[in-house]
Amino acid sequence: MTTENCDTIQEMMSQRLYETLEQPEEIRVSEHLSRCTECTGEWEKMQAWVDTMPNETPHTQFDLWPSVRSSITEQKTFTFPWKRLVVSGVMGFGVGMVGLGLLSRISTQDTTVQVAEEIPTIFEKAEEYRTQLHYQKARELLGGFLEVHPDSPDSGKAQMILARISFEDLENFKLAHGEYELLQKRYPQEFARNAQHVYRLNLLDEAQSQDSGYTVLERLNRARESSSIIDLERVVADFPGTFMADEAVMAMVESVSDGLNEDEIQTAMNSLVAQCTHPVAQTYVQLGVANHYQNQASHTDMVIGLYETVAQSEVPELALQAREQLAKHIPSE
Amino acid sequence: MTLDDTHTPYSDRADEALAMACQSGDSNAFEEIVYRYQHLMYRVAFRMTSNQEDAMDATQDALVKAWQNIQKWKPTHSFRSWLLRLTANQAVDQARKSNRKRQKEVAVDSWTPEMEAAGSDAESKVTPDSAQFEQRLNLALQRVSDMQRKVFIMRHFEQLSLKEISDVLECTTGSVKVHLHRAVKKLRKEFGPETQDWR
Repeated sequence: MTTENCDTIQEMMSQRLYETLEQPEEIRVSEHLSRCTECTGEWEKMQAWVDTMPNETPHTQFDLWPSVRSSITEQKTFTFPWKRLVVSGVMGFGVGMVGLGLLSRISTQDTTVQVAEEIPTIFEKAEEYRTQLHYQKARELLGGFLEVHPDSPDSGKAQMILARISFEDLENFKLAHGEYELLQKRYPQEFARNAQHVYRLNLLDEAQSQDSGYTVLERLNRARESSSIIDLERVVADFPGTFMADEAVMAMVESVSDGLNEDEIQTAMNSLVAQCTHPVAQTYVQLGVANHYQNQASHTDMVIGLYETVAQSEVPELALQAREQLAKHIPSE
Repeated sequence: MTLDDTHTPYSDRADEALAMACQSGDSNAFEEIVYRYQHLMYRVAFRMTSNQEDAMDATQDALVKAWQNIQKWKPTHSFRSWLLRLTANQAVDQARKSNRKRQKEVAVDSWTPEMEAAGSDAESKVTPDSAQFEQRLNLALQRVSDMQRKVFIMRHFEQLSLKEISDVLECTTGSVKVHLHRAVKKLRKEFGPETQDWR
């Protein structure tokens, strides 16, 4: 007999048998068993019992569908929810607003959808598909939900995730554009809640204005995937002052800074700027790098140096931005 | 054509996508659900009722009810858990409805002298055949409460997680643990070395 109550431990052993013990309980049981021969004997009996228990149910071949189909056809009890769909068209906007309450419980970070415990299964499943890169399945799931439940309090969230997934797919920007437009139209407050939605819609609008095939975005993605500084710089040079150029600069910064420590960043950024051959693009890159690191105290000197360079550049719009930034960093000047 | 060969446009869809299609009246989606779950439902029903006919009836009735009540399923919940809940409840009802006399006869008939010998002979090295094991196990399962039986079947035979069992039974995982412990304790007495050398 040990200090720990054997009855309590033996209760836990049933759970241990089925691997449902939490870690602290598991430790308690293990420690007790190491000292108590009586419970160790009981544990061995339990293991022998469960090992010998049949753990499968004998297989029986059958197909219930013909009889089930017959039953559900005869009864004809199902009614299609036409009324609800019609009503939903009228109520969709108002109910979408209610959905915001649920949204407030989840993170809307760009790269991950933080799924809280209470978040519905359908969103967990969509997120699972997303992480497995099964975008089409995720879209079908969310699209099906929105088709059948346009008036659900969760519809806004479904539309938001659908738009996000469509954008991340990178296969069909036209589709992603449509989803973001729908998000803006049907769930305006939800759309405006996350700056990323606004940014992406602006990006898609801008790309569409260049050509309806969104080839600029495809070009940007190819350059990003290959981490080609030259190709990314061409995007900046060809579309200066656009969201696409901003994307390209950020892709360049991420590409050359990946895995570096704080001390190596400045050298990498100097190297990046030096690689740029197009003068306007180079100025954009300098400003982009400065903006990217402006809130990191360890890079203040580099940031101020870059802003000063851009402030003296021959690109008036960028020079003005740089001077405004310098005024924030050095108020006395 | 076997079930394994069957591939429909619905085969790749998630349960919840199928269920939502059913809510729109798509019976083809429901057909996929039937193919996907009828055997799991039957296994649960069989362990609940210990009777093949009752299990088959319970499975079919649960499927019909699932279709009739598909609007009650909420996409915010697991469809599989909802279906298993219908199945387990239907199986309990089916067992109650079925002829008690017939059940008793089956129970008595199944307990053969050979089984008795195998069960009571402490020195026996003969392993009882699986059919006898099955019958004895099914009898033992009928000696625990409905809730304990549901929990034990879902964990032991179907390896459902505590969370999923709690979803199916609409209770806490703590409650599932308690039922599991009680089921194991009772089943060991009914069907184990404590009462007989059964190996």
